[in-house]
Amino acid sequence: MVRYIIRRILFLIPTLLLVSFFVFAIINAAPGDPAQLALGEGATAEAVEAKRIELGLDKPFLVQYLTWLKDIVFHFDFGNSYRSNISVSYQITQYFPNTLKLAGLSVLLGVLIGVPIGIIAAVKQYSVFDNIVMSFAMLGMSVPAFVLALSMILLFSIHLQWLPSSGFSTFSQMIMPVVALGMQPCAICARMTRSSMLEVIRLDYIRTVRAKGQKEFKVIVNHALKNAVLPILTTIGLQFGALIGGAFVTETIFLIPGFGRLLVTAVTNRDYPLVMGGVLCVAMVVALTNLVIDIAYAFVDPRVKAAFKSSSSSFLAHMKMKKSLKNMEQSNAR
Amino acid sequence: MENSTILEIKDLSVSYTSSNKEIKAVRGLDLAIRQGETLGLVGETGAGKTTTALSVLRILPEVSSSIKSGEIMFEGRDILTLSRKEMREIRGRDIAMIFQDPMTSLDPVMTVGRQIEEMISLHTDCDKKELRSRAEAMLEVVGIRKDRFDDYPHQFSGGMKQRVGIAIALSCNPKLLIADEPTTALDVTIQAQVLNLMNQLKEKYRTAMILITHDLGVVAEICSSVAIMYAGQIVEYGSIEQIYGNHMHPYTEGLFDSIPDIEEEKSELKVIDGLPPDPSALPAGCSFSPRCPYATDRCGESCPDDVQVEPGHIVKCILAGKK
Amino acid sequence: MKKAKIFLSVLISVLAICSVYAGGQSEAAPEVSDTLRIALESNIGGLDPRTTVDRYSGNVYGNIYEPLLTYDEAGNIVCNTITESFEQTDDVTYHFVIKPGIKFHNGDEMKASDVKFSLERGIGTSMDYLVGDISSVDVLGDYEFNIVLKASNGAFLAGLTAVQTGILSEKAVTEGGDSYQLHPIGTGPYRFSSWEQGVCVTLERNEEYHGNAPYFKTLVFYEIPDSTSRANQLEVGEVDIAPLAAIDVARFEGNPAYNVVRANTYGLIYIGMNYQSPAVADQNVRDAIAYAVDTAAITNATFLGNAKVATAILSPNVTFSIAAETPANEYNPEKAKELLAAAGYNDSNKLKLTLVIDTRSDVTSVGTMLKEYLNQVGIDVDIVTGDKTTMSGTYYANGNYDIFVGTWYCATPDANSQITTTFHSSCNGATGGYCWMNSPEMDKMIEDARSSTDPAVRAELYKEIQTTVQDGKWWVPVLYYVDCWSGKAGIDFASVLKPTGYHEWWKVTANQ
Repeated sequence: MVRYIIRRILFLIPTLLLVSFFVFAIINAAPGDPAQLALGEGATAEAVEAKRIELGLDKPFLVQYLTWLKDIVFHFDFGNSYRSNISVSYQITQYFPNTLKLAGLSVLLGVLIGVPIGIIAAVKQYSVFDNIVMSFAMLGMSVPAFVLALSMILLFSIHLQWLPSSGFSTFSQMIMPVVALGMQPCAICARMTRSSMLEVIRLDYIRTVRAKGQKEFKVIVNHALKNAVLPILTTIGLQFGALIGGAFVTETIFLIPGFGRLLVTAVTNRDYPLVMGGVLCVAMVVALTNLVIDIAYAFVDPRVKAAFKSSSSSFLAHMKMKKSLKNMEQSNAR
Repeated sequence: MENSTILEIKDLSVSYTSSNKEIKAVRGLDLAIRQGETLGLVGETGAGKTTTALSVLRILPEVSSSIKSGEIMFEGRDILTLSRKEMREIRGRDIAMIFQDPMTSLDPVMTVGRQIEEMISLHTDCDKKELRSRAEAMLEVVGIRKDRFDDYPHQFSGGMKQRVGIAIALSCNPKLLIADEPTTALDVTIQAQVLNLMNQLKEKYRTAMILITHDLGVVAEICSSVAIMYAGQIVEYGSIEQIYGNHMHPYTEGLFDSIPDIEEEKSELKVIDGLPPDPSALPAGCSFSPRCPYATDRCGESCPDDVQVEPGHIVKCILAGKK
Repeated sequence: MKKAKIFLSVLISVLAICSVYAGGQSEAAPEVSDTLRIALESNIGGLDPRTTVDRYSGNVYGNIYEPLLTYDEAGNIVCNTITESFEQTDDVTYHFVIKPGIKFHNGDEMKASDVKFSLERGIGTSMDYLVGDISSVDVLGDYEFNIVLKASNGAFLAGLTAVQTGILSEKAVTEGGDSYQLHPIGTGPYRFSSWEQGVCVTLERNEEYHGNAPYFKTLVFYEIPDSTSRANQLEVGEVDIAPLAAIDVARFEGNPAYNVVRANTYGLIYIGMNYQSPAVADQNVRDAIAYAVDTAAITNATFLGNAKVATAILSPNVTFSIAAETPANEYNPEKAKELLAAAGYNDSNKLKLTLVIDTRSDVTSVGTMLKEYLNQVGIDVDIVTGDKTTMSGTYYANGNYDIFVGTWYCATPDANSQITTTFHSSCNGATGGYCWMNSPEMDKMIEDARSSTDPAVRAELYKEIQTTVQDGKWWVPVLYYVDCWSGKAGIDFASVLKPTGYHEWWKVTANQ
């Protein structure tokens, strides 16, 4: 198991290299001169040229990329923002925790509300509750976060004056952004939980547990849910990854200094070091999230754990696991 | 030492609803089983055997099924009227079930030992240590080494999984065991072992058993009485000698006739003409009459009553005893 | 029973927690405290003028640093708080004497060496438009120095009034290195306190300030790029002063709890023509385009009346602007059609133009209306748009378009900064010369106006330049931006708002 984790973490490195190269290529291809943008309108042509040389933009594309890479690997230096000359790593440490908190809390809210109502909807399939839950899920996935955000500000901040309209430090400040951003994960979790539970509830071993005389609640939670949780875990991981870089609009509306805002501003300004540093951060968090989810799989499903333990590479592990599951279903021998 | 009746099913009717059609799976079923008896419930696929079993435990799928009428008397109480809590106490402790497909009957994410423990802890007040030792004991009873306590179902073969299922079912020493085709999914050598095991345990614990099967050979091995089921009804019931030696119902006859005789030379197997009826569109009168070689006009008009041809031998056919 | 109890207790706890927060958050326009919270409409890029010259950052660090010169009421350039005297000793030399005993926020005394450091470090950077002409700063004593230029420059002194040329402490900058701007040091009325990245910068009153102490103990500048959020923040009382978009003004106008102040700016929106495009090479065509457009209607439509119809290419408050004497653009679509016919265009041979705009809302509005007006006189218009950066790189950098809608904000109070960058041939391209003008006569006029130090000569030259551009219709000015600010009643801030865009926040008071 530990070997598997170490292998996965090592596998991060080629992933990050690929991502960073790809992003570097794209942002270089976009029109717009970072030197000129850094100096602003009214800069003289000589100044722009001098700035280009200062930023190393006159060098060939590959040299620029490798220089950037070298600085990171050997000096752990992400460079300075073209625009403000403030170090990229400093800005990341200022903005990133907010986004982590926002994304984390939103997904948490989504899970805490979405999973239980998904379970109840599955257990009481076709009932009124089920229909309400499904309609809510549809609504939650269709209404964009910013519409919800603006409506909430209008009602709770301006009209009723119950909640502050911006910021992200105190509890009351966090309520609206987290709710606005958490609606979609909540809806998706509810749907995913419901469908996954519906599949599991019909299975034979659930009937076996009932035949033991187990209480219905425990049948659902200890047995059905535990087996249904794998797709839900995947969903949670995906939702979290999506929110890490994609909460731009909510952050803007609630004035949260988050990564979404930072990255969008950086791209608009063609602030290469900031964009690269930011993207690398996001890629790493997403990769780590996936790793955590995969490890969680192993803890929930012992068949997955067995496959991880015995295999010699993660790709092979997945293939082997699938194959052995298939074998077991067909085997009859002692 | 009079063996008392522990389970009596009276006039049980169970239907499923599917696309607004009513599927009558069990119709007016009567059945009784005494303490220590092993009853073989025989019939083709779709006869309603599993439905009957699930009705006794009241674990039918709630959404699509309903028990239309009848009583199931267990130890003097109609369990169809019991509260959910009371029913939960009965399940596992008094009546236990072994299911058909061992590959899918065990929770894949729980160790086998824990699954046995779960059964025990639901019906007794043991502490952790005792739970464990009792569960380990059950594993040994069914012939599995107790050091496999922490293994998961996928690490066992089909036969061993079924043994685990048996261990779970018997761990609280139930009065009645319902085994739903426990060996159908296993191959013949394993089948023999599992049946032997069940026999031994049945003797040891004095458990009454309803063995659901479509295999007359298995019935011959361990049952003391037999009920033949067709289209949701018991068409013949009797002791094993009566049914194997003196069966009366045309369907039972057809069943026995279709067993190939190793000494005879034949090129074709003898089959019963036609197919079992569609439970959502049953024929009027005797449901076997369309396929019965002895059918008369009256057979198609009204359902036959039960006829007792000998003490303890009941046949649902108007021609019983008259051939 | 047990389950019901648990459920009930959870419910009660949740309600209790909610009620704590529900009741106590209202902050409806309380009295003004000793903290002044100001909303800015763009991100605060940095606090080091060398790297960050934008107006918004300038509003923040303008409280920390002090430049050498300033304007008086009559519009003359005079000594600022830290300067004793100055005079121009020859064509390229300016002699300065600064006051002794001026302390930086770190306690060090400001010396001429700090001035030399501050000005020279800006050469060849974003500050080039202000100090690029400096050849050297020669220190003559602790408080005396000469600034020597490479060539005579009549606009130079205006540059020394800009907050970007505020004096920094050489020691603090050198020691601070890359993280200097996280702890900037100046001589100004406020000292830096903290910077919450992406949220706000907090300044504390400099208790040892050598001049008049400011009224407010603390200034907090919030960066709120979204206009709706700015208005919301003002309404709920999270900020005290905020610049508003036109649609939000109505919320505060007429409300006794707020003052609404309108301030002139140096900014304008204009329609520009590409000097190098054959489609608009004919003067008739350019005249036709100008006649086709109703600038008054566009002004009213775009900003709901919170803008002024433009006349000259230089905003009225910029020195040497002839805005006051220039008539507004004449709207005469019939004449436009006549001129187009004279140029050889008719229904079967329509004039087709490529129009470059960007996605900023005001530019898009003007551009869309422009297209409509031109269509009405029979000109086909092809709009290309995208975010400003992309447009800059794709079009402005290459000059492959016919007309465009642009905005310009004059960077200094002197006409030179705008004129050079927009019309001198050396500035053609993405830096600002979107017109791609390439006229030796124009270049000479611009250079002469810039190098002359005689205001009369310069005035004459700039009048000539403006008239040439205006008559030639290379720019058709549409409207002058008017900033709408709103603040809590009781805060006296109207007078600190300057058309330069660098407002003197340290002068704000409250009448309690």
